[in-house]
Amino acid sequence: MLKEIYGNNQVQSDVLHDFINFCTSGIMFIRRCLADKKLLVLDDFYYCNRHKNYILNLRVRNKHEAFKLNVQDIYSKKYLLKLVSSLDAYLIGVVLGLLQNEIIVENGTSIVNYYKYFNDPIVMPALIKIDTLMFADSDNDYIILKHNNSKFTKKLPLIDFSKNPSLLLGLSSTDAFAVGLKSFDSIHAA
Amino acid sequence: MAEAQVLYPTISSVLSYLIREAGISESELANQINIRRATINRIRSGKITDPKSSTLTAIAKYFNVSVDQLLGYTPLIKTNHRSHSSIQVPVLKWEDMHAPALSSAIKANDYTTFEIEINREPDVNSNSLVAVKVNSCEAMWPYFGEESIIIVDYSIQPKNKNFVLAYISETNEVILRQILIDGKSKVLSPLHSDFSSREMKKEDKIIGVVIHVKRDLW
Repeated sequence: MLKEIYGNNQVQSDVLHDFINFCTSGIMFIRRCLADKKLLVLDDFYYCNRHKNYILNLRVRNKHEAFKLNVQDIYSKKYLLKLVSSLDAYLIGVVLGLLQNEIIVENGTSIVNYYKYFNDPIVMPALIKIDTLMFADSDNDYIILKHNNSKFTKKLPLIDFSKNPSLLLGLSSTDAFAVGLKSFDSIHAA
Repeated sequence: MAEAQVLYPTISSVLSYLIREAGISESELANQINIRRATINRIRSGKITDPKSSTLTAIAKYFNVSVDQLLGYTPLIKTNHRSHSSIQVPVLKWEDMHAPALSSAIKANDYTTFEIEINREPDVNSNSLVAVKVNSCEAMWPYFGEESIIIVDYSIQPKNKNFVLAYISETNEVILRQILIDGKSKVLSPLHSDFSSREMKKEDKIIGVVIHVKRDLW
């Protein structure tokens, strides 16, 4: 009888132990990320008439330290994409797309807030990746997404995908940047 | 996307419709699902109105419909059986994409093939597609990085902002760029701002239009 009770308790405690381990490992992971890197957040962007360029306002996460970056410099500083969330990387791609297509948005705060309102972006390992980009006319571009740890694939219109911040968060920041660069016009319309 | 709903009241008409849409014969279907061809023929002709459940399940699974849809109890939503299909395209080397050598490289028939899924649109001619591995294309990052394969259609005319493979006669090289068309002027533009744009000359040629980029392959 006692053995049975002891056995049951043992099972329960193991489950509890696993659960605590699971929770703390997640917290530790985020803490480790924050400690190792100065993660960055895109606060907003604006068009600089003087330099004929878009300027990004980037801030160190949880700090007041901030700096400005010419959006075209992202090509020479690709490592910055790894320090921002994929949603921010997507927005940087959008801004670069706006510049390359000579579309002027004076103040990007509303666009940034629109994408961040429902989400609290964190930097996390990518869950999905872009398997294929299918180019057609600009409204009919398709994207095939692939789950990182399985063979699951999903084909979506690029415009629909770019309007879904939750899915964008699952991409790596480089992939999200590529999506933003291709679908800048959809956000501009929004 | 609005999809037309088509109602077929009997299993024979539903099955006939599905076979016709899939573009297969009765015997091909029979081979695929391990059921006698005669059985399928009898269902189609209406001689069998209540097939065995194993037969129904196998047919429904093959056509990706529910058994209810197969029996005609629920509407059959028009599916795009032909909209996505896999085809084999030849994989060529970057240097084979040199315009004069392209056709001879394809005729030589000593290439490996690569399977892709394409949109079966009327303007896509699967015989004019080739796959090319991108070695390094910093100018077109982030779309065309290393370890990606591009599918090029050399039968269609490029439109403004298409990604194209172009042969530059002056330097005798093939480059991947975005084409910007403004009237008669055609400019080959990189995505990376550090690389310079180049206006196309008469001697330069567009080899083909990039329709797919496949990444993380090798």
